[in-house]
Amino acid sequence: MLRGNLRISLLCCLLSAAAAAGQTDMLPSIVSTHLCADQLVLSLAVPEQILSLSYKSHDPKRSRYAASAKAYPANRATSEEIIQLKPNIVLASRRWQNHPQQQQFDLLDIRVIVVPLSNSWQEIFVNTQWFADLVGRSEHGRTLVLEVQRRLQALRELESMSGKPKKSLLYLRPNGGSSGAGTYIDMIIEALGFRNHASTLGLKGWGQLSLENIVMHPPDYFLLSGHVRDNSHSNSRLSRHPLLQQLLDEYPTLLLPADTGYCADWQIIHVAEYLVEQMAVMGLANGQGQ
Amino acid sequence: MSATPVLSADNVFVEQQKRRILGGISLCLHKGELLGLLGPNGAGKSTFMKALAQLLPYRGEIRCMGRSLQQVPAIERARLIAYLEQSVQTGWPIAVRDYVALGRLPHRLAWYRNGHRNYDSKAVKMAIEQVGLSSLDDRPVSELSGGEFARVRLARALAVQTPLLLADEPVSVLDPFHQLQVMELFRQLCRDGRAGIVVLHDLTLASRFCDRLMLLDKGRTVASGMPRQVLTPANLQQVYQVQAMVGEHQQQSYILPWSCCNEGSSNEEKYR
Amino acid sequence: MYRRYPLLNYGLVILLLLLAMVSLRIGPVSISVSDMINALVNSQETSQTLRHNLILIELRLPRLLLAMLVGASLGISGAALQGLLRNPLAEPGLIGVSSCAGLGAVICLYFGLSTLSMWLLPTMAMAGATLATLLLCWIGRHHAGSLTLILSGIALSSLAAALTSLALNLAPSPADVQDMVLWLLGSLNYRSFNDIQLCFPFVLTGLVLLMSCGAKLDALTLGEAEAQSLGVNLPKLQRQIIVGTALSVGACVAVTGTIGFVGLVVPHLLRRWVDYHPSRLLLSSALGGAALLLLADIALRLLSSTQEIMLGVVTALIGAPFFLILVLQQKWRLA
Repeated sequence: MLRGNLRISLLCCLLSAAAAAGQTDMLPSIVSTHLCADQLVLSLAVPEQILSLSYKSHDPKRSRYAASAKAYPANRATSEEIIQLKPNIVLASRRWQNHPQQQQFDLLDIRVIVVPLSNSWQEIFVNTQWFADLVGRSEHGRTLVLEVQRRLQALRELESMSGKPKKSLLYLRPNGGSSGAGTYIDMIIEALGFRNHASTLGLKGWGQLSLENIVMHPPDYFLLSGHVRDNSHSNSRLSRHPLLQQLLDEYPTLLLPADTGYCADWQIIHVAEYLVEQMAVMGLANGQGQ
Repeated sequence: MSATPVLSADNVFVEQQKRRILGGISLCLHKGELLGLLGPNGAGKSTFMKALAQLLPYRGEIRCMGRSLQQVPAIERARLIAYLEQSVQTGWPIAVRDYVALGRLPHRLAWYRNGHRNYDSKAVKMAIEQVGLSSLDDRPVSELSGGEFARVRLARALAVQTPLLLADEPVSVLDPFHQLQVMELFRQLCRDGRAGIVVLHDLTLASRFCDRLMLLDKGRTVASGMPRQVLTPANLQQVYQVQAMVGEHQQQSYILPWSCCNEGSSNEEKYR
Repeated sequence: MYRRYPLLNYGLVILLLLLAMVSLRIGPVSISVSDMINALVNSQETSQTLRHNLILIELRLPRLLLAMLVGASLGISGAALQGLLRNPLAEPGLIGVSSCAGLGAVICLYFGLSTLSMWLLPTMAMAGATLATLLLCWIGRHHAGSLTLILSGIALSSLAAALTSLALNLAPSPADVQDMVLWLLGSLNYRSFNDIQLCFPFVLTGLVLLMSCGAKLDALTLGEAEAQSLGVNLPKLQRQIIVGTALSVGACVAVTGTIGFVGLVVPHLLRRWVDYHPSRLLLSSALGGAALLLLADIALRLLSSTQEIMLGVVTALIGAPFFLILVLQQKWRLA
């Protein structure tokens, strides 16, 4: 399903690219140095615009778009590479803002843009449109936002109206990390019709939960992260603890794929749809109980 | 003599880093005897003592109470020979009594240690009395004067209660009073039935307190026998390169090194 | 002055029990004393007592036991090494055992081997400790003498530190660096009975080896030659202590990461109370080390809010200033 969605959106991308072929010359050229920005670029820009993507985008363990991303050269976000490529726009992470070469970029007329984080579905729509405008693909952006809104609506309609209290779902990373309100995980949980258990346990935003608290107040469902970063030895202590393994055996468990992207942009709709599919396969109902 | 010697060494060779330190030294020591080991610095006295105590590898045979020491397990050997090193720094500041009690280790480590506890503490008490330090027995060893510490070390060696006592320069750090006292003690211990070897630099003490002397130079025995036979002007000149002043007081001889001999080799050359 | 040290050991045992009870009480979920007893006596009664029981037995108890095991290993190894080398600065970290175990683990993390099997990392850490041990034993056999051993240990730990830095330097991603650094700082968080099972046989063997060399360590107070004349086999004693240290500390490092200063401070602190006897110091240091590490673990759990403070950091924070004070107060000198 994930792959299917990917194909559809890529197709959209290509079709609109063909339509816009005449005006390609006027579109700004882009270098993305950040995995989350890569995703946005691939979904909104036309191939001619894209000069380079981050090296992580080529790694199939992290990036769902690895196959299509390999069509573009990879970069390691060094100033030299960027000056060499001389794009109109560099998409960067927040860490990149204080880059010492900022002055040289100004001289070469290279704009450094930090992709903003979205804290709600509404913000996602706004930011997607903003990004589309930025890369000169406003029309395409409007189409995309409408499509995502439609898919989100479809998800919400899946929730039955039985009036039963919502089931709780706990997002858990191998190091005990979880996320309360104001995070894209919370948005996904809400879209699926669950109650975010991390908020119940007193977490706001991103943070850590203790195994003791989870044991004391277990959720109805677990949602585990499959992020490669989290598989490192020290960081996955909690997930290896036999007590947690026991809990995971006891309670139904959903799994986020490693290549989810872990970015707060419109693509989390893919993730939500993927989880609905996973629940269907496992014979589980949506957030409002069987 | 008829009885088995306490210690007999036969042609002992020691080599270190391909250099010969001892070149065939033999020795026979009987119960009751105190032997003085003399010789200039670097003559091999300490090496010989260590070889006797089985602390370094050697060729030749050393027997104690008739048993070849290379075949005796370390723990049994420790009950035959007590050894005092030339000089040691005070280790942990444990009490005098505890320090001396370490000498009972070879007995405590034996498998039949049970029931010997009381005897251990008796032996320790006796050893401390013998060196005259009963009043200091709960003082930390770090608080003792050099002379007191030397006597505590001697008491430690006595507490092992071995037939043979080896002491490497036991009096060199002591003042005259304590030098005499310790040598007197050694002689007394041997009279009481042990045998002992002491390394000495003081020729007068050697001639007065030892029954026999052995003079080493460059890893070989130069002379061995009664003090009078060993400490001859010719020997002293050959080995120490000194002219000695020899005299007599109360029928005992005293030997004072008086001046350096410069014939042949100077001191500088000797140490080069 | 005499008869003080058995009292000291009883005191340390009581302290240890008290700390253990405090340690069981501390955690993100607060469980009252009556709930604790209830959870331990009839855990099947309600789902709440069952959960309390799980938290106490599966989460807090392994942590508590591991803290005691690691602390005891470090304490006794420090005491034994100080006795062997007759140097109050000796500790497992000094002779390179800890850092080589650390290096083994870092290599494992660097090449991503830890994902292959959960046993691989501890195994690599112990292999590092064993390698260091074999090298030290070889050096000990060919060049007997404490000073050579200390200096070789320092060289060895510097080399291990350099290679560890190289691994950090060349680490493929920031996550890997974080992983290695976290591991080097030492932690008891989320350890389970699996971890204890893994290190216990090695730790126990090491502790037995170290405990059994008390009398010989006492004899070393007389100097190496005189100790040998008392029947102490010095090369064998060196081997016994190095192997004992490698087994107990290596196994602990393998499970918890490197934790410093316990092996240094505890024997220092207790030496006066055992009248400076290296043999009496062994048991007391094991108890004292266990108590100190438990105390450090309690302190860090009280201080940590959301971000966990690492155990190695706490022991160093407590240990280093304390050690400085002890050194300044020290009246006696050693060779």
